[in-house]
Amino acid sequence: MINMSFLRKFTLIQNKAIEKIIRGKEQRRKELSELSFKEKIHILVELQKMAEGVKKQGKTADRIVWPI
Amino acid sequence: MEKTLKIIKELREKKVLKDFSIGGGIAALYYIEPLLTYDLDILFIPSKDSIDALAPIYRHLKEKGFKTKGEHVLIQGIPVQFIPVYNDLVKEAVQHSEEVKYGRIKTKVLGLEYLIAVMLQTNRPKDRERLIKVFEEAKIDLKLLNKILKKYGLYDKYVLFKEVYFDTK
Repeated sequence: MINMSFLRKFTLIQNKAIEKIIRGKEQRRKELSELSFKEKIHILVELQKMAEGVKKQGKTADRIVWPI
Repeated sequence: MEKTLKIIKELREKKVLKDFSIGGGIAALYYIEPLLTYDLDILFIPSKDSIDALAPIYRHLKEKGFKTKGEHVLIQGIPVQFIPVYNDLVKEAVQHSEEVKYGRIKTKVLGLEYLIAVMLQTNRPKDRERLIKVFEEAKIDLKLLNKILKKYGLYDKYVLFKEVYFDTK
C-alpha cells in the first residue's frame, strides 16, 4: 500500500532539493562568467585537456590543447 | 596566448591587415562562462581589396616561420583562423569592437551586441548553444541590440529565438 502523504512530502522535498541544485549551478555559471579573460582561457585549456582522452578518432584527432 | 595576440596585433601595425577582432567561441567566452573550443577566430578587414584577402597574412606569417594546419595558422601553437569580413554586419562588428586586455596585451573582441547579431545571422547549432548562454549570463544593452538587429533585418529571427528557447510567447 502506497502512503500518499509520505509520497507527496517526499516529492516536495525532492523538488526543493533539485531547485537548490539548479540555483547553485546558475550561481556558479554567473561567477564563472565574471572571471577575467585570462582566467577563462586557463579554464578553457583545462577543458581541452579533459576532452583529450575522448577525442582520439576521426575529425577530433587534430584538435590541439593550447600551449599557454 | 599573449604571444599569439601580440603577433596578430603586429599584423595591423605592419598594415598586413586594416583591422581585426576576436570572434567565434573565444569572443563568446569573453562574455560568458568558459566553453570548449579549439581555435581562435580572427575576423579582419583586409588592408586592400583583393580576391585573396588571406594571401598577405599567410605570406607574412610564413615568413615568420609559422606553419599552417588545415584552415588554421599555428601561432605559438594556437590554431588561429583568419576570416575576412564577409558582409556589412561583420564589417561593422569589427569596426565597433571592444578593446580588452589579456595580460599586458591590448586586443579587440567583438562587442557583445554585435556578437549576438552575428551568431543569430550564422545560426549554426553551436551558435544557438552559445546564444542561450549569452542570454542567460551576459549583461546585454537591449537598446543597442535592437538597433543592430533592426538595421540588419535580424529582429524577427531574434524574437523567434527567444520564443523557442526562452518561452517568451
